[in-house]
Amino acid sequence: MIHSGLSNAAATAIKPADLDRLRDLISAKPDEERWAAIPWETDLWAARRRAQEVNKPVFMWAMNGNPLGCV
Amino acid sequence: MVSERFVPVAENCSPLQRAQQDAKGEYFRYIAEQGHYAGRTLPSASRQGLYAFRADGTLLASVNTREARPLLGMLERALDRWEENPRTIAEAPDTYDPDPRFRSRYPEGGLVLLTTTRDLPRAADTRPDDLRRHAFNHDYAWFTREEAASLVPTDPRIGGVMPVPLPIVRRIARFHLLDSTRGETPAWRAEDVEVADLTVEVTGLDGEVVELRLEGRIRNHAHGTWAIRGFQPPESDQDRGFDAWLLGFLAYDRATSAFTRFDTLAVGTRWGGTEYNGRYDDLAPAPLGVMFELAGSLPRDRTPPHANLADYFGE
Repeated sequence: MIHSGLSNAAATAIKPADLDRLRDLISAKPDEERWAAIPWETDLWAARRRAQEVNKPVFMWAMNGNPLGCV
Repeated sequence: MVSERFVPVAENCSPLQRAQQDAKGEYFRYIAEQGHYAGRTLPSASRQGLYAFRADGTLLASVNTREARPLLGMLERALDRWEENPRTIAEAPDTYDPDPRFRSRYPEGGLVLLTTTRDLPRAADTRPDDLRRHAFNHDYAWFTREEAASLVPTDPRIGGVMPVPLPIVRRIARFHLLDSTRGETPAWRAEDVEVADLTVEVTGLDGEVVELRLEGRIRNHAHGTWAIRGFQPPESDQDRGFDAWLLGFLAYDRATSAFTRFDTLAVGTRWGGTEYNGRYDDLAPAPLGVMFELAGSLPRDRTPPHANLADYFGE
């Protein structure tokens, strides 16, 4: 098991040599964000207009907090 | 299916479900009141979920789920109903008069960062092997052009060190060193920031590009009474915090007045929970990481920070 190198109790300064390893632990992996490949409109009104233009229904992901940001 | 058969849109429904008084807000409420939470006020008035509808606002199907199978069922029902009459009838006006309280405040020409928050591995891990162990969350951090420029010494010299300007320290500490790994959580109050020491050091000069090293420590801590589980009563003697060290490598191009690099980490120990951040079963101190990086140029990269923007910009 990869250990973060941190105790569970105290914060310690980050060593520059650990930066890449920590970034890899934190960053989202491609298979974790497959939803991001969907071409999301970011405005409901624009989606409505586009749905009329292309004659398709709208699919809306509505959350308290922006689904494309912090939820 | 979603990309091909629908026009997909993602939005924060918090303003739309009640407060936003314009045609867009009315349109969302018209759709939502045909759906899975129609008329609901308890345990909350949230209208969050997944909706499929015609452009004229006629609901085809809706559900609020994180599971693939119910979502797939909803999409199939929606498409079946769509196929009964696969034709868009009404036309929406091109524009509407937007509620000025919800105008975009995207900092054109400023600094926009994508953040990622995630638990770090633990030596002794008792978390179930589900989303509680693997969850992560994003947010966006916004700084105006002037705020971004203030991070760079006006007369940079290699080895020169200066404190990070207070507005930037404040914004990072209060609004972006949060345990939102499993769900949203309130920003820290100003009085919760117990330690906030950040500096930038000039580490390189390459033509117009100034290379900087950002580092320091921020410790946030709050004690009081609040709920630690959704829709439950507040509990007294609650304690939460995040004690983090920061290290970042930045590059600022004075010719374009823009950062070309902003690779920064905040790593440390978090503890406690809040009403909607899903930590009720994981309150003990544990390692947490927050990563900051330059946001991209896709439409989603204009997503606002989670925070109340008036508070965020210190208004």
